[in-house]
Amino acid sequence: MAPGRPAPRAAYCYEFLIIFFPSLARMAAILFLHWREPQFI
Amino acid sequence: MCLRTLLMKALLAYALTVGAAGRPLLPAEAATAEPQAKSDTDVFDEAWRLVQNRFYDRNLLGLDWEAVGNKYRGAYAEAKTDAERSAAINAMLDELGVSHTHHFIKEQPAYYQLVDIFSWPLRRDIPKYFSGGAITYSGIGIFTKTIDGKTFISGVLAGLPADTAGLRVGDEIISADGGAFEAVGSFHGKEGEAVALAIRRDANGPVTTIAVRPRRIKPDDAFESAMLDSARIIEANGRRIGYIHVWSYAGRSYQEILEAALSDGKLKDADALIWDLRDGWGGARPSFLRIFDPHGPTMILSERNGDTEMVGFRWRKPVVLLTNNGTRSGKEVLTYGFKKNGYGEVVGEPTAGALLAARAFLLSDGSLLILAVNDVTVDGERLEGKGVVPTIEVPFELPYAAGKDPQLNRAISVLSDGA
Repeated sequence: MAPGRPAPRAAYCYEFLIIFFPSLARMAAILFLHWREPQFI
Repeated sequence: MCLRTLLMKALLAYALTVGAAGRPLLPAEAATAEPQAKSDTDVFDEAWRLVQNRFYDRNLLGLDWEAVGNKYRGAYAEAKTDAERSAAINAMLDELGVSHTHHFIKEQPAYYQLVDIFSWPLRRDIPKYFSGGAITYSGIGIFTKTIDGKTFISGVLAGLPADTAGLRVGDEIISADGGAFEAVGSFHGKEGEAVALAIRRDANGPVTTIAVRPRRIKPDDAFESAMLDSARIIEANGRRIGYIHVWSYAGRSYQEILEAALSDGKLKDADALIWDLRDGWGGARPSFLRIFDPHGPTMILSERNGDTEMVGFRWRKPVVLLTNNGTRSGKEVLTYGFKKNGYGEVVGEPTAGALLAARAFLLSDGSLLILAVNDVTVDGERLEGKGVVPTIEVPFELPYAAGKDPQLNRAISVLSDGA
C-alpha cells in the first residue's frame, strides 16, 4: 500500500476476522481465492 | 443474542451471499448467461458479444469487431458439426491474435480440464451441462498434438491408462479400434474395456497395436495423481536427482504436493531437483516461487500428539527448471522469476508467450469460451507473445521421439556433472 494511503476497509475487516474469528478468516480466504475468477492458465 | 453471535451471523450471511452470487454480471453478460434459442447463430453471437463486452482491450486491438463477426457468422451458420462450428468461432477469435481467447467443445479433453479449473466461477452453470455436477470424461491420460495432419502423443500422465499400457511421448496414433482417433470420442462409453490403439513409434517402423483401457477422468484429480506418480529419484554420477512433473498449477494443492514430496515424500533424500513445468496448464501464483528462495525461514509446528506441520518449506539444494513451448501463463511467471533470481538453470525451449488472465464462460450449447479479461505485465515486462528464453536451449523433436527426452537428459547432466 502506498505511504499515506488509508488501508481499504476490507483490510480492516479481514484483520478483525483474523483476530477474533480465525477459522472464519480461513474460510473467507478460501472463498476469496476461489472467487478471484481470472486465471493465468 | 450476544454481539459475537450477531456478528458471526452477519459475516456468514455476507460470505454466503458472496459465495452464492459471485461478482454481479454486467447486463450484456446476464443476457448471455441463460439458455436461449433464437437463431442458428445464437452461440456464435454469444461469443462475439462476450468478446465485445469483456475482452481486456475495450478497443479490441483496433479491430472492427462488427466486421469480424460478419466475416465468420456465415461459416458458423453453414457448419454441420460442433467441430466446424467451433472452428468458425475460433477463426473469429484468432483475429485478435492473443492467448487465453479460445472456444472449446466436449470432444476435447481441454474442455473438461478447463471447466474443472474454472469450476468455482462456473458452479451455477455446470449442473446444466454435467449430470450430477461431475466434470469427467472418458480418457487414457494423454496430451496430443497434430503435426502435418498426424496425431502425436505429446504428454503421458504418469499412472494413467496410457502410461500403464506403455504408450510413449512421440508415438503417432494411427487409429482407435479401427476408426479415426478422437481424443474423447474414441473412449466414450468404453471405460474398463480394451481399446486397440494402432500406433507408429518409428517413422519408418511398423504399425503396432497397443490395448489401452480408458477410465473416467476427473481432470484435477488426474493432474494431482500424475504429479505424485511422476515423482522419482534418478541416480546419476552418484547423485540422487529428484524429478517431478507439474502438469497443472491451477491451485494451491499442486504446490502442497510438491512441498510434501520434497519435505517428507519420495524426493526427501534427493541431492538436487528437476522441476518439470513443460506442457499442461498454468494457473500458478508467483508466491509458489518462494520455495526456492533460500533466505526465507522454515518453521515446524509440533502438536502435543506428535503431529508436525511444516510452514514455509524451502528447497536449498540445486534445482533445474524444464520448459517448452507448452509452458504457459502462470508457469511462465514462475519461469521468469526463477531465471531472474538465478535459482538455477532453465533447460528446454522458450515458453509459450501466453500470459494474459482469463475468465471462462459456458455458452448456451454447453461449449466453453475462454476469454482474456486482463492484460498482464511481470516486473513491467509484457511476456504475452514473447515468452521466456531458457538459459540452456535444448530442442525437442516430438514425432517418433519414442519416449526419449533430450531436455530431461540435459537437466540430469547439469545437476550430476555440471554439463
